[in-house]
Amino acid sequence: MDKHDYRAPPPEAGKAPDAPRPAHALPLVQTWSRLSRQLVPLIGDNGFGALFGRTLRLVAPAHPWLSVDASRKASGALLAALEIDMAGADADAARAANEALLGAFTRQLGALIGPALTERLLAESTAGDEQQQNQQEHK
Amino acid sequence: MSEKVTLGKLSTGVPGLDVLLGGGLSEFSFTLIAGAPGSGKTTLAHQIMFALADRERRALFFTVLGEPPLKMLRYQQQFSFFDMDKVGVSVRYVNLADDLRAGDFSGVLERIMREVEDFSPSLVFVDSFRSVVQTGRNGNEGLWDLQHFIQELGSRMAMWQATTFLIGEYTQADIGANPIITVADGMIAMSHNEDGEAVVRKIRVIKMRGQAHMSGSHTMRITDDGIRVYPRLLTGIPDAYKTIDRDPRRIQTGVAGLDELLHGGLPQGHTLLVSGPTGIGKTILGTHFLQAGAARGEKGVALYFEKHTARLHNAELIEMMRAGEVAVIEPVSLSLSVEEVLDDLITTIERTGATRVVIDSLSEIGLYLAPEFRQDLRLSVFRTLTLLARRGVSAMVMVGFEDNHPDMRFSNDNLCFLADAVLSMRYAEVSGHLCKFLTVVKVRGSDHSKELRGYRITDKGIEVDAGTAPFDNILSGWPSPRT
Repeated sequence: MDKHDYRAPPPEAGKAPDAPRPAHALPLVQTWSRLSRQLVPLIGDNGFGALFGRTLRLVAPAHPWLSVDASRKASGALLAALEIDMAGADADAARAANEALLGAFTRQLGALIGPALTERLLAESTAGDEQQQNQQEHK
Repeated sequence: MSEKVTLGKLSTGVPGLDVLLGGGLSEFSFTLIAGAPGSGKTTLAHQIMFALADRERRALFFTVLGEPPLKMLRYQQQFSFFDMDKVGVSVRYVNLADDLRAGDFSGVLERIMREVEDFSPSLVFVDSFRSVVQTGRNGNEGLWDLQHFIQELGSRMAMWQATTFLIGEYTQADIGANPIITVADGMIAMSHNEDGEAVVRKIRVIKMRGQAHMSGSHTMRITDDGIRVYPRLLTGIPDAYKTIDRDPRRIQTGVAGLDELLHGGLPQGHTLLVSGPTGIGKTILGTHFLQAGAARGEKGVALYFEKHTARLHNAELIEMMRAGEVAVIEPVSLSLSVEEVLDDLITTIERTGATRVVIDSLSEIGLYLAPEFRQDLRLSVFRTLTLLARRGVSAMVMVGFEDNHPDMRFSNDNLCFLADAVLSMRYAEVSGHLCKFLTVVKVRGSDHSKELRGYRITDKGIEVDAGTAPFDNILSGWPSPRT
C-alpha cells in the first residue's frame, strides 16, 4: 500500500475497537484514493471534492444507502463516509455502486475536459489498480 | 576566443514572437507575461510550453487562483498546439490553491520546490501570479515579503536551471511600481485595445535582459492554432541591390491594347495600380489579368473587398475558380487588422503557388479595416504591396477614384506613389456619349506609351482602340476633336 493511499478511519466512538469490518469496502475505496491522489494536485482538494460530491448525488438515487451530505467537502471526509457506506452494504451491492460511481465520475470529468484527456489523467490510477490486482494474483 | 557566457536561446514556437524577443527566449530566464484578463496570457504560456516541452525538457504548470484548472484544460485543448500525448509525461499541471489557502508564501514556495525536485522540469509556469500577490496583500502572507518571495523563486528556479514564467494580471499602470518587474529578466505585455468598435490585440516586449529585443507594440492574432505575432517589420527583397534587371520579363495583362501601351506587357513582379471611377472597367480588367495568367498555367489570387453581388455575374471569374485557376479571398470581418489581410494573402499565395494577384479594390479596403489601420491606409497598402514584391508576384491593384476634371490626381492618400506602374481610366463626354479612355501614367524602370486611347467594353471584354484618341483635352472631361 502506498503511503498516500487512503486508510480506513478509526472506529466510531461507542463501537468496540475490534468490531469486524467487512473486507470488501477497503479495496473499492482505495481506487478512489488513487484517483484523488492523481487529480488533487491538478484540480485541488476542493475541485476533487466538488466533482466527487456531484457524482454521489447522481448515483445515490439508485443506491439509497449511499449517504449524501453537502457539508462534506474535503476528499478525506468524502472517502471516509464512502467506506462506511460500502462496509455497511452487501459486497455485490457495494461493487455495483462503486462501478456506477466510477462511471459517472469519469463521464463528468470527460464532459469537462474531453474523454481523451480524462483517460490520460486517470491512466495512472487505473494502472495502480491493475498493478495491485497483479500483485494479489501472484501471491 | 570569447570567454563570455553564451545565452542559449529557446524558440518560443509562437510565430513572430522570436523576432520581437531578438532571437528567442534566454534559457534559465525569469519572464513575466502580463496583461489584462482575456489578453491571451495563458494561451501564450501554453503555446510556449507545448512547443518546448518534451521528455528531456519537461514543463511544470502551476495554477493558482486564476482560471480553474479544469476549465483551463477544457479550453486550451481546443488549440492545435495542445498535444495530449505530452500531458502527464512531459507536461505536468499542479494546483497551488490549497497551499495558498492553507498557508503563506513560504508554504507556496516550498510546495513549488517539492514539485520541481520531484519532476525536474526545465520549464516552470506559474499562472496566475496576481492571485498570489493579492493574497499576500490581504494579510495571509505573514512575515514573508512579496519581493522576497519572488526573488527567492527567481533565484531558486535559475539555480535549478529552469526557464520560468510568471503569468500575471497586470495593467500598464502596475508595471512601473511593481517589484516583480525589477526582479524579472524579461517582461512581455499583452493587451486588447478597443479601437472604435473593433478590438486590436497587441503584444510588447518591455524588457528582455541580455538581448536586443524589438521595442514597440505589435499586432497579434489568436486563431485555432494559437497566437501569431506580426512584428512591425518589412521583409527585405534578397539580392535587391546586387543585380540590375534591365530587361524584365513581360507578362500579358489580358488586354492586347494595354500590353501595346506597356511596350509588351507588365514587367513581371510589378504592381500596377489601376485608377478610375465607377463602371470604368477595373474589375473586368482584373478578370482579364487573371485569365491571361490562367491561359499560361499561372495561378491567381483575387482579394475582393467589394460586395458579393458584383461577382455573382462575373462568369469568367467563377469559371476560373471552379477550374482551380484562381482562389478568391473575401474577408467578412469589418474589424480586420492589416495583418489578417496579409496573412490570408500569404497563405493563399503559398497554397496555390499563385504568381498573379488582383486586389479589388483599395477604395473599399478601408471599410473592412479596424479604425487604427483605416486611419493609415497608405501604410497598410504599403505593407501589402511590399509583401507582394518580396514574393515576386505581379499584381493589379484597383482604386476607385471619382473623376474630378480637370484634376490630374490618380488616387487618394498618395497611393499611386506606392505602385510600380499606374494606369488611369477616365470618362469624357464625346458627341453626347460618355466615352472611356485610358493611359499608362508610369512604369518604373521601363519606357511606355504616353498615348491616351479610347476603349470600349463589349462582350469580348475591353477593346482598346488602335492609335491615339483623336481628341484634345480628354483629361478635362470635355474633349474636342483634334484638327
